[in-house]
Amino acid sequence: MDVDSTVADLAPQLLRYCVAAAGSLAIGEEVAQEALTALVGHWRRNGPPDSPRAFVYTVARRQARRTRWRRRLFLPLEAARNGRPTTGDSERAVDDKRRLARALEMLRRLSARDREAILLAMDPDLGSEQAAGVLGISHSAFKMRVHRARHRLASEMEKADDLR
Amino acid sequence: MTYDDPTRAEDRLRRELDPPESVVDRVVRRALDSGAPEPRRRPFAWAFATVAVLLLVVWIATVRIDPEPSQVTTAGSTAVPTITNASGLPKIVWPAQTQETRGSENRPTQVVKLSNPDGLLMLDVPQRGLVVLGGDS
Repeated sequence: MDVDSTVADLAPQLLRYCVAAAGSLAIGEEVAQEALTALVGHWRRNGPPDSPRAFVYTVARRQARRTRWRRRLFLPLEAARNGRPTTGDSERAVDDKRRLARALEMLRRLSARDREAILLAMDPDLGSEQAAGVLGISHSAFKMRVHRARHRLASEMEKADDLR
Repeated sequence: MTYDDPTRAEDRLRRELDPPESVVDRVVRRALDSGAPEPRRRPFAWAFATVAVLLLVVWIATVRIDPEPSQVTTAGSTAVPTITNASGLPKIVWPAQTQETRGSENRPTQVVKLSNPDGLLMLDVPQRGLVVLGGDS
């Protein structure tokens, strides 16, 4: 197991988590890159962590939360300065894609706790115990939260499909 | 569409959230590049710096701080004071060696008694005796 192959293996699922947690592809990409960079730095300084996957998810979760707060703080200022919120060309271009926009809309309908739980549960290589550790809750609490989140997600998807 | 099995909804969400390959590649490449180790510093830089600091400390301790005052006015010294007449007042100018010495007993104002009888200047220097300067002869 070397750092290059580990990063390449982690990147797709971590990126999916970050995009969903941040609510946009551009910011999610930035968050995922920061998390992977932290992993690479840690790996080269101190060797591999016990669970690289849990390591990057923990960093990404923290970074995504900071990014959300920063956006909430500065978005009104940017909107006042520019007349509308700035989102960036690349972000806009990708957000125009229907499937991503729809998925993000589905996730916005879930509570923050449910959203985090289901996003971590989406990674099949991240064990539920590790995912519980990332969220700082017990294993059983995580499983219960995922169970509820899946049902709410299914319900929201059905509603969205019915409205079409 | 119904989702009797909630994991189907999750699978669909996962597919919709799948990032483009190009973005994945970019993130991996940047992470590996930015997490590259820093170039090694000079291995003996700390040793050099430590030795330099120690040498500086030793130099200050031995050269600049002299606990024993120099005995410039001992026998055999050529440090005879010279006298100039600036602004009408006698002024004692000590040789450089004497001026740089430390210790209060070597300071001119404390070790020299100046008198001027009969046009002669007599300096009473401790440990050196009476030094007579000036005069016509």
